[in-house]
Amino acid sequence: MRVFLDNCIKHVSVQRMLPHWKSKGVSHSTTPKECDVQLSLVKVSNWSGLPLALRLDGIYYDLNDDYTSRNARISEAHSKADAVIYQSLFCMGMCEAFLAPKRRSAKEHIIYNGADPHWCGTGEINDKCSVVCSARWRRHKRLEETIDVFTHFNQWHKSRYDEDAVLHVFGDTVNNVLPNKNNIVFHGHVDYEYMRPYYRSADMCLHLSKRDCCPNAVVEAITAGVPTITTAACGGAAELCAMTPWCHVSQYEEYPVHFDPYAYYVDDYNVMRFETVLDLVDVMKSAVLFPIKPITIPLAVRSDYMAQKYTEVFEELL
Amino acid sequence: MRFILYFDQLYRHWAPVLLGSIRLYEPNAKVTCFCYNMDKSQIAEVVDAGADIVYQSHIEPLNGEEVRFHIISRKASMILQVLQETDDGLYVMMDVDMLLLRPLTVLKEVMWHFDMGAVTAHREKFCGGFYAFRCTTMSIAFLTQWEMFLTTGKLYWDKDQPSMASIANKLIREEDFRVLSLPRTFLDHKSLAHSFVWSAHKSELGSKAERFNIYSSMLEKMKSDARAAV
Repeated sequence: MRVFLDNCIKHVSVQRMLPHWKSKGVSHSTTPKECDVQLSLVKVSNWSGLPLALRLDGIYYDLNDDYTSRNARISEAHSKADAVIYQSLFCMGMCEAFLAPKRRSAKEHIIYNGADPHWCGTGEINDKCSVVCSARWRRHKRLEETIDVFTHFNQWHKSRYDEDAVLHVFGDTVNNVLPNKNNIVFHGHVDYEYMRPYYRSADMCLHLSKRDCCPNAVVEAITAGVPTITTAACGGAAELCAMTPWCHVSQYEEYPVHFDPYAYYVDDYNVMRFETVLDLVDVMKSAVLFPIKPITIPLAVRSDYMAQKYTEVFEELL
Repeated sequence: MRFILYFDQLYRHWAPVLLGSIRLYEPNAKVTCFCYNMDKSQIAEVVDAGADIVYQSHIEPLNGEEVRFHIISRKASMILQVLQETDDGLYVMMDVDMLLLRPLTVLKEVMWHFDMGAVTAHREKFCGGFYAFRCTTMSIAFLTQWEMFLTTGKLYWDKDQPSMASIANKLIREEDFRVLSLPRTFLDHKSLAHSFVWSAHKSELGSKAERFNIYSSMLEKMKSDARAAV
């Protein structure tokens, strides 16, 4: 089987599948010639006429962008695709609430993003308690809330162990005032090579972003064996953590009931109740007092499983 | 995949409508029905509508309690019994006054990674009416604890939803219980375009009789749409 990768050859989740496809005899091309099936991400750049599998990552919502017309392109692809792959149940809910309700085909699947369980290697134990978080930090990614939770946790940590825990923040920060503290380290946008040692030695990952459909930050943390903490309001991250016994989903925030793009920019939507902060801090304390060694990585977040499931979707279209 | 339905003679007329929608969208699924206080001809109607296993029993409360409270208290027992007697991968328990609106393909895919799926109302309560289970060690452990709560001593007819959440939250925290929170839009009382299940539990569409008529005509429309698509 040969797959035409329409607009996604550089996408990290697709890149992670390529070696597994190769081992299964699935080849790929960036042109439709001699291909059997097309994979497009989010929208279709080239309507080749091949059976089309469309992977959706949610909808556009950036107010600085013309999100209405961008969503119209997604809507067109969504309605014409022969099969749609959603990244999570949350992703499916969001897309179906906003995109054209009528679809040409009833074929729909949920396949989570995957990563290689060995991506960050082994060894190198950090003697300091270390918390990681990663995102392209916009309001709904909740950097302020992440720092607030960490600060409350660190008060306990310092009183008990007489030293500070460290928060490593990865990713670009947009419109955020960064606190100048020794134990909160802003690394900015970095590549995986740089992140490896931090994930290898992290005690936990804190992910509080509210609209991610299937955040790679969480997939990477789980596949690195890092206990990840999120809340029920955090969309795909909550699904990923709920399926992973050594991760935690705080139920002190509720599942989002609407997906209005404007809501992501409103403080009321993003602000965290104090009882949620306390619950998260309790879980972080437990992670330090009773550290859990992950035994198995859930299949759903492994890149080999992801590649297998995509192959099954392609075969269904042939 | 197997559906588990439960109802008494007062709700039996809803069963053919729900079973019709199950046959339409999940034609390969099997259905177990627990029928309470129904006679032979009424049971025969349920079998004709497409149920492949039917259990029947009679409930005669002594203290003037309503039959429905006794039925609700048996929810966990019913699921446990079916999990232990059949081998169908995924089990879905639904209230009978519901309608399946589309295939459950994605639920089947996602549930493979979880022990239980339910719509969460809030931290202390699951929405009743729709639960999905896989037959795993943890789901059996959960159902056993829930059954003990519901069937021991006092009749906990109004505590099935909070007790479910409380036991599940304890097992999530202390054991390896994996629970999928289904979106609130999954189960809807207004039949949203992207809902999977339409539930008659709220009165916005009129009286229960009016809702039944709407459901029946909706099923006919879904059937004719399906025929047109073919």
